Amino acid sequence: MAQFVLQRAMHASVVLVVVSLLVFCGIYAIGNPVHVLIDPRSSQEVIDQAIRNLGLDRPLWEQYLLFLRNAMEGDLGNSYVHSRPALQVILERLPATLELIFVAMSIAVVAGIPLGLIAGSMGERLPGRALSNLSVLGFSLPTFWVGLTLILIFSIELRWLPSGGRGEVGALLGVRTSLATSDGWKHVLLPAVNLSLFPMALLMRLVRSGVIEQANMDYVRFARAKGLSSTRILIAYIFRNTLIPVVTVMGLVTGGLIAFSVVTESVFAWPGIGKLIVDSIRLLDRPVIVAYILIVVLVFTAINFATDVTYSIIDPRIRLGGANR
Amino acid sequence: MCNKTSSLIKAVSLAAAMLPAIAAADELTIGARSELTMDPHFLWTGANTSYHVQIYGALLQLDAKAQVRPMLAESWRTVDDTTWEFKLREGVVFHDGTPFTAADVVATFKRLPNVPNAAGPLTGALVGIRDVVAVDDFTVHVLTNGPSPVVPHQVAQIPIIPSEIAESATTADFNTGKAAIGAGPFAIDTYVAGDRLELRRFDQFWGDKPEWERATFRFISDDSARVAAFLSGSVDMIDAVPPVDVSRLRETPEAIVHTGSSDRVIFLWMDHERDVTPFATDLDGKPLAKNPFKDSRVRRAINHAINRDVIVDRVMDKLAIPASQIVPPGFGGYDEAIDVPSYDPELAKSLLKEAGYPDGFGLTIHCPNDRYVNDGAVCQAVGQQLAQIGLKMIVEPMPRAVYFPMVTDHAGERSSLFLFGWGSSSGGEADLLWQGIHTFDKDKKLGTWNLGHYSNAEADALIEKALVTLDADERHRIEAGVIKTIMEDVAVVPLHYQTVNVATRKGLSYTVHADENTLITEVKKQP
Repeated sequence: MAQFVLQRAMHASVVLVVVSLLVFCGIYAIGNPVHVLIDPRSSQEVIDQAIRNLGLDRPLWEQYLLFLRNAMEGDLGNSYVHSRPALQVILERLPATLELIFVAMSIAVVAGIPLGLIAGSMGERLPGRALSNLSVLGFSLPTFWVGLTLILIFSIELRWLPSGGRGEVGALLGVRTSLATSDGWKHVLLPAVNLSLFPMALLMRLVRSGVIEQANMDYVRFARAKGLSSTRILIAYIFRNTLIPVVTVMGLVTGGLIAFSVVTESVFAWPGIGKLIVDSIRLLDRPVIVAYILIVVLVFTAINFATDVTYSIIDPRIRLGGANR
Repeated sequence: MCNKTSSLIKAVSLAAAMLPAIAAADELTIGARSELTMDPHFLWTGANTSYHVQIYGALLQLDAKAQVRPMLAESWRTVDDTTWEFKLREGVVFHDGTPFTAADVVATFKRLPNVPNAAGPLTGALVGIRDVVAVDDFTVHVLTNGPSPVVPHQVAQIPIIPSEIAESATTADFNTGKAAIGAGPFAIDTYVAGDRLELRRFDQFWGDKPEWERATFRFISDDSARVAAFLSGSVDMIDAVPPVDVSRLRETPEAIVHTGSSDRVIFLWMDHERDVTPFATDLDGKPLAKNPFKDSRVRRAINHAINRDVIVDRVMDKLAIPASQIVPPGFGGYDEAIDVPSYDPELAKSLLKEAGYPDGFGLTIHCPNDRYVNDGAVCQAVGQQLAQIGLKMIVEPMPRAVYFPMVTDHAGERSSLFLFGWGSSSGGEADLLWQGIHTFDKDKKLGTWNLGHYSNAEADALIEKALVTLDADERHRIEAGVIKTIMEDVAVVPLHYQTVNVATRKGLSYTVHADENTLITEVKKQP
């Protein structure tokens, strides 16, 4: 186990360095952020001063090495736009995104898995087919449009829920989160539902195909021969065996949502990191972009790690580190 | 997608009763497109100035027509050719109760060039200003390098902070709110990055007591989300209403849309300098041996090929005004005698033929697609109209993060024909002349934004003369003369003047400011 962890940590470090280099060079290639930020009424002298302020007058390799050296100490540079350390800007907004993802994935899991079980076990009959067809909508409806329609119906027409923004922040188990207040839940509900549709559809189809596959297996026949009810077979036996692909996908999707919940955050004006990264790219705020990508890489690595550990829990046949025994 | 949703919004909002019960009658919530930077001297942008002028105040302020009015300074005059004197208002206190004196002004100006890591230092607003000194507790002298008539407009851009804070506070102190002490009508209560700014009325404000006790700016940068927040009643007003939603909001009984002219003119630059310009090609795609824009007939042809009325009507939803020159009406230097270039494609084609391009040529037009109102769509319309006079057009809209570094790089490839916008509020007059039309001269600090590298010695001499003419009328007369010359020479192709659109719920009135600032003090309750 320890060897596994160490190996993973080394892989992650290499990926971090490579990615940071790529992002650095990529943004440098686009152009000088000063010209995006500076007011056109400024004189050349002031523009030059701004370029010096941001350290952009040094050659690229020197800028990168400076960045690496500071990164070792945990300093990923100051945001050009927000005048605060880039890392702080991101970490300030991370809790909002994590809340949103947590609620969205919970909805997806709580709704998607049972629906998938139903669709799989009643595949030929009406409920099964209806669910499969509905799941297609979950994939194909654009998030932007669904979000605006939800706002239209629940916020403008019915006035049940607010149209955007994050609610009051309270403390739950010592953690400051808007999920601790009812106002917070009112605000998070629509964007979370919006975000959950895609993972829900995905999970539903995965569970469904897993159930269909498992239903033909010998152990299921034996269990039925033993006299167990279909429901018990489904929940106690088949379900566990469909979980491997489900856990894999859930891990990937969660990582993807954390990194790229941009559209939902924009439509609902949710102050998270998805919106931050789009704004930063638009303004060429390099320190924030680089810091963000590095954090995203870390998040994906952590999720991958958690996924692998979960495998070994679900399926005792799987050993961490691969099949070399 | 957007049209479908917008018409859904229209249908639903006509039927729905819109107004919720407002929590407290003296609280105002504004959905704002842009967020602020907490340190008032870190990044000079129009949006930041809009916020900071309400929290900190400046020596002077701009009114709805971008003319200067007293604020922390009561009166101002020139003492000699290189000195402006400002008499400060007495009895003003900051939010923490300390009195406002000349020392605070001097300390503020001293801080401006020394803000570490500033991406857009406010010294950009102070071109020509050498030093700021206190003569006594309530008199300040602004010293300039030479006669500089625009000093009043320049100082209106600088938020004033107390001297103790100017000397010791860091940007981080501003970010936590500790150092956010100003002399404006509103003080900062809470700031949540990316979400909102809550302000409360400053009761010891020297001026008229604002009607609103509390005001909250919610940052909603996505256009549709902002309009949705307004329609659902979450906010009382929104700024920067997208033109496509203005007509629908106008039909909503519970909303009022306030429209006013902006200080911003949208125009096209052309490459005036190079002998071979990279993006003009012959019909086979090979670069032309001779830069077509050097021939004034080609420039005039482009001027007359563009149908500005159609662009204003269809692309801008009638929320713009066709432009005849580089400043909007009402600003210094504007010459009423100059007409909007007529739409005359036949004339354009014959001019092209005369210039030696009977079959036209290939041309690429570049523009940003996320900076000005509907910039990408305007660009495409222009491209289509130029195609109708025989030019083989390629339209290249791109994000501003790519566009601006490309076109502002004086030594680089730049572009041959490209779109730009210029707001004239920081001068109140045709300041594009000295930053954009004058030949690029690093030593004289002129022409930094002359991106087409236009060079007209006669215009240069007149511009330099205007720059040192302190009498406003004389100066505006000289500027009008220069504008007439360069418009005849087609230094740039003017397209239209933008408008500022703000929507409030019924029962509120709002006075639109040409500099696009969103000011709480301009929101008044109607009886």
